[in-house]
Amino acid sequence: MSGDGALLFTADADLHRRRRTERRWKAVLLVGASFSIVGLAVLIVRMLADGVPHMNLDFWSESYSPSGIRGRTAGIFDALVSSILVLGMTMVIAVPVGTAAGIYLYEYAHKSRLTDWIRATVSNLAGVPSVVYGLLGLAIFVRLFADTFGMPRQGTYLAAALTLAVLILPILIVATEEALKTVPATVRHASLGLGATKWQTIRHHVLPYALPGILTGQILALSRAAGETAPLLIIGLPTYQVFQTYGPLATGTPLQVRAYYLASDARQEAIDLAAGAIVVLLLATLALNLLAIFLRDRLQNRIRW
Amino acid sequence: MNKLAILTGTALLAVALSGCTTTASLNQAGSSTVLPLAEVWAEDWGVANGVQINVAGGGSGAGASGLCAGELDLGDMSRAMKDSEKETCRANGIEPIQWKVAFDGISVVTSDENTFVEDLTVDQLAMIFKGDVMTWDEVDASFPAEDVHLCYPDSDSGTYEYFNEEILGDDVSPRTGSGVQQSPDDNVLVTCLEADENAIGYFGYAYYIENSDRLNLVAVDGTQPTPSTIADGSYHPLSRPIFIYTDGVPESGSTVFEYLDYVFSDGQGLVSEVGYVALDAGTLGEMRSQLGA
Repeated sequence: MSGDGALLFTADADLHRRRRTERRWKAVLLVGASFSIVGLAVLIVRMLADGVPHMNLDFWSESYSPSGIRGRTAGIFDALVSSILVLGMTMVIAVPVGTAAGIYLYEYAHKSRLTDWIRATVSNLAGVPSVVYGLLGLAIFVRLFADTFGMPRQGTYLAAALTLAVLILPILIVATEEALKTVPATVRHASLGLGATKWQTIRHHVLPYALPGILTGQILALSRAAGETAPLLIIGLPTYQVFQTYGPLATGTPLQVRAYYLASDARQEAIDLAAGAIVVLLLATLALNLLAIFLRDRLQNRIRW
Repeated sequence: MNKLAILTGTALLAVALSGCTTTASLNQAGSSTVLPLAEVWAEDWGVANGVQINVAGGGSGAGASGLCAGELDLGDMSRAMKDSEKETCRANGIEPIQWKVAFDGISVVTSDENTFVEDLTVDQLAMIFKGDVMTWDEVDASFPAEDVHLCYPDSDSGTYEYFNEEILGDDVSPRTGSGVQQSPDDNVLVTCLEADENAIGYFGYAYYIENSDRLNLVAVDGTQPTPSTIADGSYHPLSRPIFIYTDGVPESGSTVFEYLDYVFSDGQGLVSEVGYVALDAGTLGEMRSQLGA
């Protein structure tokens, strides 16, 4: 009895100590969390305060005009169209390839040293700085393609889209694999057991359940591509062209690139325009991320196992 | 869902392809100092003559390498081409020809809170930027005993190279490390300078003009950069021409010829709009006779 009492007593003292440690760690973690949230809030508020006053009708409907900046008739119309074109092409290229690679790696490939190696490479690629993708794009999609296929020797929309596509491939592959992992093996076994082929199983029983996850991954990849500036600067898109051209082999200035150059301009009017462009980029990225969260929740709730 | 994505994509591509047009076009890239001027000229002349001009930045080095690789019709540079760059050009069968298109006065500036620096000699500037002196009272006994902070452009910039060559001498690098901020973005330098009364830096005249309410101009050897001292060269040694390089002297009637003809006539009227100084009559005549216009 007395032995038990002694034990209880020490346990109690220990509990006080452990609770104190608990409170301290909680405080440390809370500080960490608030830093990022407060930081983001300050960033958003400052950007909105700088940018929103300049977002009038001209801002949306006019194209960039070097001399028009003075008369405040310069806007982001051309840059916005360029961005949508580049991102559209990026997704058309990257989504089929990335999804197919993910499905193959998870559903078909046998576990071997080769697939392990491919997986490791894919995860490592996700961490490569985006400037490196820009250099790759310049060397291959601009210079090599110009030499071998006779394409224009300059940064084209196609070169930009291919570069961004390579950049987001790892995200798409990993997202597809993760989504496939959430589908229980029993679903596959039941389908295969009833005589369905592997592809029929994937097409009719696995993919529908994995779709929310895959879709979320695609939207997050799109938002990543929308925010990338460095690779586009490296492949050498123009800062201004007299006549806007839109086409795979045409070239132009997406919003990110325009914002970058405007922000380093001496003229206050250009800096104001940059502030507006940055708000558009920020809101677009935020909206895409929110859409991803919304879609995931909506679609996942609909699944009845 | 993927089907939908592919459909939208194909539609986008179709729309995109149909938008392709072919016109006479020029590719121009290089110095970020020349960039604002190049853009204004491209718009003014290109729209009127239906010529597509793609203008890009990248730095003087990119202007030289792009021209020498045959990728550019017009290479913008804020310094003269180096011999090594000319050799690369000639090895590719390209003869680089230099055109002075305007003048810039590299402006030495401090914060408007700095009340002690008004005039520095070239020797004093050299001491400051080399790091031979680390506090202001070592520059001049009447200055306060505070640390000297430097804000100057990145080493890729032609402005950086020109300043070092003229002020520090050949192959001498400026002080780096603590108390020094370097940036490729001149607006970052403005921010670096404006809040710090012990900081000194330099950049193109246009950036001073846009921020004159927050910055003080420092006279060099007693002369302040103004449009007239920059154009007549009395703002010495920091008044410099800015250049466009072409492959050979363009044939009369070619697109490049027409463009340069514009630059050396009506184009000069837009130079002051972006904060630079138009060519004086002598240099302008020289350029026109080099062009054969």
